[in-house]
Amino acid sequence: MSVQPVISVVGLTKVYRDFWRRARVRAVNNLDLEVRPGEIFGLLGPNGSGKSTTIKIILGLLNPTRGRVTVFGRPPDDVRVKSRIGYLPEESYLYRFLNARETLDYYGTLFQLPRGERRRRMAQLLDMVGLPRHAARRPVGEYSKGMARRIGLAQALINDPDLLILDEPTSGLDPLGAKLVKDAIVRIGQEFKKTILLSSHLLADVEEVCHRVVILYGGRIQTSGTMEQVLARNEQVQLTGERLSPQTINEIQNLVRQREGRSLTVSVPRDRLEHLFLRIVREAHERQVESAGSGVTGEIAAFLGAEQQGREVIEQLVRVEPEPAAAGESETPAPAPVAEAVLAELTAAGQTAPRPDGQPATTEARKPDAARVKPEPDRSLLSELSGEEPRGGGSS
Amino acid sequence: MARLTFWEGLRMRVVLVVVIALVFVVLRLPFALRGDETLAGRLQTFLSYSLTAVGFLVAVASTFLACATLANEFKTQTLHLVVTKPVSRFQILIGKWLGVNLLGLCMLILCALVIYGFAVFIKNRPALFLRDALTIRDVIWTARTAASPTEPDFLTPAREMVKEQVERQGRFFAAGDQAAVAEYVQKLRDEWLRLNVAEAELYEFEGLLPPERPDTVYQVRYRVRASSPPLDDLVTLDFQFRDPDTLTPLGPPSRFKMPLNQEHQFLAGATPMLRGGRAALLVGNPPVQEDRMLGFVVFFESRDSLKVLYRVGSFEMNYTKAVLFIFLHVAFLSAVGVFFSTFTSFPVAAFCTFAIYALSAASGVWLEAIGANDQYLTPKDDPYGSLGPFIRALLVPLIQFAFPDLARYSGIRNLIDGYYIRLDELLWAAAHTLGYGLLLLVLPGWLIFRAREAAEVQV
Ligand SMILES: Nc1ncnc2c1ncn2[C@@H]1O[C@H](COP(=O)(O)OP(=O)(O)OP(=O)(O)O)[C@@H](O)[C@H]1O
Ligand SMILES: [Mg+2]
Repeated sequence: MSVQPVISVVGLTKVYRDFWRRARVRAVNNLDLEVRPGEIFGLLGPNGSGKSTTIKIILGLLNPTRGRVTVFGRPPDDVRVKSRIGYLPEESYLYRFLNARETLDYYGTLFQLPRGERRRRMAQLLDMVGLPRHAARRPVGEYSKGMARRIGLAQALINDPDLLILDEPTSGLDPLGAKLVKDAIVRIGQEFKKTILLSSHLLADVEEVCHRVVILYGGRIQTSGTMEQVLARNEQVQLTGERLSPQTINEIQNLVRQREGRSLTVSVPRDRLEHLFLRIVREAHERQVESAGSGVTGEIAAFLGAEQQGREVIEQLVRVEPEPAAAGESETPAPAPVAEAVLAELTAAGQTAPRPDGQPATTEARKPDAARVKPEPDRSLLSELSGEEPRGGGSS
Repeated sequence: MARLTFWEGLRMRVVLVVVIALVFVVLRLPFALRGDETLAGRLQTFLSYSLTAVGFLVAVASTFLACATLANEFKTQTLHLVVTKPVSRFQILIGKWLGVNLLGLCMLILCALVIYGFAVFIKNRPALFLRDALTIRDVIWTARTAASPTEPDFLTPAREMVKEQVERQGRFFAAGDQAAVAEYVQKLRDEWLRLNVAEAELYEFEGLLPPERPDTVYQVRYRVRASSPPLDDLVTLDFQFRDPDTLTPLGPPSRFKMPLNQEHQFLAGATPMLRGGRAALLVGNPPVQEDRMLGFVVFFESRDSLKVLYRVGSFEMNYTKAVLFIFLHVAFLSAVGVFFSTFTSFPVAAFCTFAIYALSAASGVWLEAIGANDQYLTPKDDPYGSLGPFIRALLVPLIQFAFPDLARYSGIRNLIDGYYIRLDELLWAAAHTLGYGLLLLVLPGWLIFRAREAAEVQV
């Protein structure tokens, strides 16, 4: 399909120069990439591989030394383009003397949002990123890194962007926050058909959310492709389930030996630290322990993609239709429950949604996994969707 | 953008300190200052000192803020987010400037109101002498214009005279023709300023402002000297306003016998003296005895020795203008500050801006030093020798344009002397400071800022 790419980068080279214009670092070297509409695109690479540099050039924060960059078919410094982009930078970027509300309000103003709309979005976003009300009144300069990061994410979403560019979105976040961000990315990308470009060197993050990835090293693309293509070389199979009796395991072992002539390694995975952490935080939250830090509600701000939340869109989702652009390559994990979640959210006005009846029973059975802080429908669904099973590490 | 800068400024403790200092200075002053023990002196000292201090402090605060704002956005990388929002660089730049000015204006208005309040307080204290109260009413708490006679064109006749002498008589001027012209100009001017016995000279005033009210009282202020003074040092002079076109007298002449070398003033009545912004004053030197042509030759030292004064506006109006002058300084400095902060760090920008401030405040002295104010310079007394004219042709416009004469663009002197601050002076100062500042900001400033990478890192 010849859909116009959201981001197109051709032959991009960036050479950092010093004061005397002498070349110092070749941060990006002849890079080509193309991000299609509705795609969640991952930019991977070790530290210093040029991820942030690439992102900054795409945003017009840096001028390319060579090469061509277009965003929505226009040069990156075009003001019209910028109103459709949400950006989360890598590090300190907020006015330290503004508090969370003022920050969001200020950026909302730059997008020329009317006052009422700003208020509405602000409240939803603060709920979404899990900043409690009392924290929202303190100046951002006093925030911990993760809290600031959450404001950064809220700020990136204030204009309901069509293209979301996140530079290491999970860095500095606690597992809860990281999970929240990952869930949000998946939902924003899939439900609202936003295009997302994110960079990370935390492979697990990328693996869980991205459709396509590019792996950079030394400013060059080393590998690129869809998640399936990139990870197709995996020779292992993993079966996960509830604890089995030794007899059953033995029978399975025998069966595998008969059929395949190989044996299985069996291990009972310990409760992972992440799960433990999530559980403890959840329990503390339920006991209402006072915290100056961040909490989490797991709600996605309702205004996001609001214009798409018409009936047709929901019907379309119910009919299990993958996105047009990514249809060929990307797997869209079980869109039907997502649509249900949207429906539930819409019918129950989002916030204090009573648990809908048609909830799949399976969620209950997966106790140790679920990162449910509040028993919200979309929360449990999402934790299911975004895949708890670690593919690379742990038990196999 | 502007609003943000405003808040940023408020949160910068520097500004807070300035405001506190201002309030303190202003609160303390009216009680501390005694001046020359008269109420008028006290009022003048208070106004002059507090306005100067406030002007300086607000200018410094604005400069700091202006230099910090963009440079810090680069440094703290907050610019990354702003630049990726749908605002153009131009808006960012102008927004910063407006924000700084807004803050400066707020501080100024606050201080100006406080100072005004105290000035009224001082003014209304009981005066010890009637004269003191009158001085305050007529000399300080007013806005009078003080017009000196317009000098006729002496240059053309002087040139002609020199030309004639050179052509006809073949005369050669040792110091050069220019110097000879200057000499003749001086001679004609001296003649114009001299009143021979039983002679009268008509002094014309042009470009006069309309009086505040039609029945405004006119005052004439003069000071004469005599080459061979009388024994009692007293000379008699006649004054009469004439219609500048028909030269018909406007009212009877007034005669005064007053000491030499001292300033005298008298009320010339309330008849309207002005005709289309012009007036004519006939000054006569009557002989000591009517029948004999005996008397003393007197002269005005310069045209400023004869003045016509009348009220053309209110003190409040004048005060507002004086404050506006201060604001112009602030606006100029903040434009320069923001300009520098588009490409340098805060300390460098602040240093450069203060350098410009210092140079601008002294630009009058500077021009004087390179001889820009002397009309006729011979190579001998030219500071640059024979290259002088060329160097000045380059330097003078440069200095005049690039460094607004902040010392001249100030209303404080006029304000405390009750002289009306002319609107055209204010507008000209505004054009020069604001226009130049904005030009600097919009042209090189914007071009630099637009070309600069927002994510550039300075180590
Ligand atoms: N402003 C700069 N001046 C000079 N060199 C720079 C500058 N910014 C980045 N570099 C260099 O460019 C290369 C790529 O940097 P970049 O920030 O893009 O890496 P990254 O992939 O984002 O790394 P990380 O994972 O640590 O965020 C590095 O070698 C870095 O040293
Ligand atoms: Mg980076």
